[in-house]
Amino acid sequence: MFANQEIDISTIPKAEIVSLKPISRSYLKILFINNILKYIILFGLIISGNNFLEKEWISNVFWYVIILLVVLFILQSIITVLGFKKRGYALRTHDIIYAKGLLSHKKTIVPFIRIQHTETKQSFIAKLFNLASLNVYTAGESGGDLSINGLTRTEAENINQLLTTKIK
Amino acid sequence: MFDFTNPSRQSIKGIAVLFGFNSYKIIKSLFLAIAALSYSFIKSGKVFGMSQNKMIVIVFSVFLVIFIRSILQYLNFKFYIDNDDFILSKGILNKEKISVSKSKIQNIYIRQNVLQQIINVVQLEIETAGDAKAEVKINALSRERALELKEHLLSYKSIENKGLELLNDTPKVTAVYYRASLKKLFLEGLSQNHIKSFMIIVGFVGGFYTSYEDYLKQLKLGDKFELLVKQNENSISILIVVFLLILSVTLIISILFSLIKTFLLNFELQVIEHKKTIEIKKGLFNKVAIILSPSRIQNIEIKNNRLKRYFGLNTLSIKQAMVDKKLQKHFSIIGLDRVQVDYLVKKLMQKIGLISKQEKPEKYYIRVLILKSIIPILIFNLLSFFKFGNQFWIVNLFLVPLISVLIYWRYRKAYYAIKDNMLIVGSGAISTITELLEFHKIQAVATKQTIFQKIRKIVTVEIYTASKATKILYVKESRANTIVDYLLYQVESQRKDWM
Repeated sequence: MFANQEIDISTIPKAEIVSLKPISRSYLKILFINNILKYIILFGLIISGNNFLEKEWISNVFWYVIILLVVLFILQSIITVLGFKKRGYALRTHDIIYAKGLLSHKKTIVPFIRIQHTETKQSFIAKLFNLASLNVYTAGESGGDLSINGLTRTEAENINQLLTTKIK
Repeated sequence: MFDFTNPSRQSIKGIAVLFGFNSYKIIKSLFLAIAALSYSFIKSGKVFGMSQNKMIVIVFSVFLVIFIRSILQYLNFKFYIDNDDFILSKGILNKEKISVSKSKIQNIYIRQNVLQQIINVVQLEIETAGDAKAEVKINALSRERALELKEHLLSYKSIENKGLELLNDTPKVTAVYYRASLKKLFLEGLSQNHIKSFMIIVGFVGGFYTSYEDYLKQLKLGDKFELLVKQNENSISILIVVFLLILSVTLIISILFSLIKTFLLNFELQVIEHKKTIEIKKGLFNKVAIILSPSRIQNIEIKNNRLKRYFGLNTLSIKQAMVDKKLQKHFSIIGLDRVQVDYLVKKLMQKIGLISKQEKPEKYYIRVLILKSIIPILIFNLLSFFKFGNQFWIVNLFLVPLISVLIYWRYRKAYYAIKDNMLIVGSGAISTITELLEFHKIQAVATKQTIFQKIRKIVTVEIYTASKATKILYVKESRANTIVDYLLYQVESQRKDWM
């Protein structure tokens, strides 16, 4: 028989009380490597610009720019370390949760029945640390997709396996 | 028969296709550099002081690298079918493994470009719903193998194909529900956002001016104008008249522009009602006919403003999944009165009904709006400082009240309501916008919170459908959690298809 009972809001499963599983610590190293690479390129550009162009206004501002970059680098490193704790994911019976971001924290929840396809990716650096990332795509053109970085390879494969069985 | 259950590579000819693609990509991206280098080569017979032989060696080695890359790409590209999943792994250094569930496949294309025709292979592309995010593409397969793979992949598909719904909807109960009269089009054109038209005209004139700058300078308009001003230096009234004249001329041009644009796009706008779907026909030169089917509709937006409400001119914009981007902008019906809007929404989605309780964003929203308005205020003050010097603050006499009113409206018009099976979100400053979406169209839900909002326990909720992200701005954290939990509960317990 068809029944249409009133839903008691307080009995609905709560997504906010789910404790998120942190990602692998080695991913912090990858974040740092990326960060350092980026700044090496920036420093290289500025130093070579100063040495080769030999313009007066460049050498005037040279040290200010270097100091600014160093400060930016330190700031970004702090944000990376603090923000790392904010990254986490969780799986529930019917959906997958992923959160990240320090200054702007975003938590996305994708129901399994809306997943179009999944993908594991392993970049060159991530391979060295035996890490992989898991991408979950919905039909949402507007940003309802997940990209969980810094999972161990087996973790990523396992979740991927689980998702492929769940989304049918 | 081909075996698709074990990982296999594409046809060996794929190396040639990949080589072709890779070379094309490199040549395309370096086109300017190549053109410049060839030019200097033809002119002086040398590039960077290198001889002809050296050049040949370099070009050759570049192609060798591309060739090796193509071979590696070929070797690392494998695909197979595992039960109901199509699995593809690729990548030389960055490994990628894509799995697509058969049930989620929307379309499979088999294509051939010139190169593929020459070496007699075909390209197979798998399209999942929505968009081009998934690069599931096999470059080189023999035609027989491709057709068999296609068959395998589609074997899961049930007969209940969504596309058939459109075809089967024979126009038994066809009737023209609404036809936009010339009067309606005229009124719509008049009440358009003329600022937008104005900007387009400014852009156009700006482009025109830069391309004919020299010619215009010869006319010495500027000098003549200055002379005019100098002659009448004492009488500011002339200056004001000139200013008003220019203003009214641009206003008239803007209005004309809006009118013409409205007429061109919406000429003979008709809404034709079929049994299950609704068809829109419109356009003067570029005639479009669009079919709206309820199962594909993701979001509906109703837009009007005070003036338009008075004339009964609502615009209904419909966001439909899997639509060509170029066509998407035509998915709107203008000049509808309230009753017609309600009827169409009921037909395409469900009845809106009376919204008994509109929930408001937190007052924090006003603070954000005020902070955001500081930048334009600063810019205008700066501009005015360069123009009027010390009396620059006069501009604020107009600016501050205007912005305050806009902020007040924006806050007043912002609300959300969760009702029956629908989420309703209101927004807008000058215009009033009402967004509608049904729970089972939701793809994902997210909460966003900046560090400042965290202190105040305020969160923005984002709701994604296949076409659009809808935001519930700045609600209390506890409230946001309830909304998220409730929406997820609805999506996950209804288990209804979104398309």
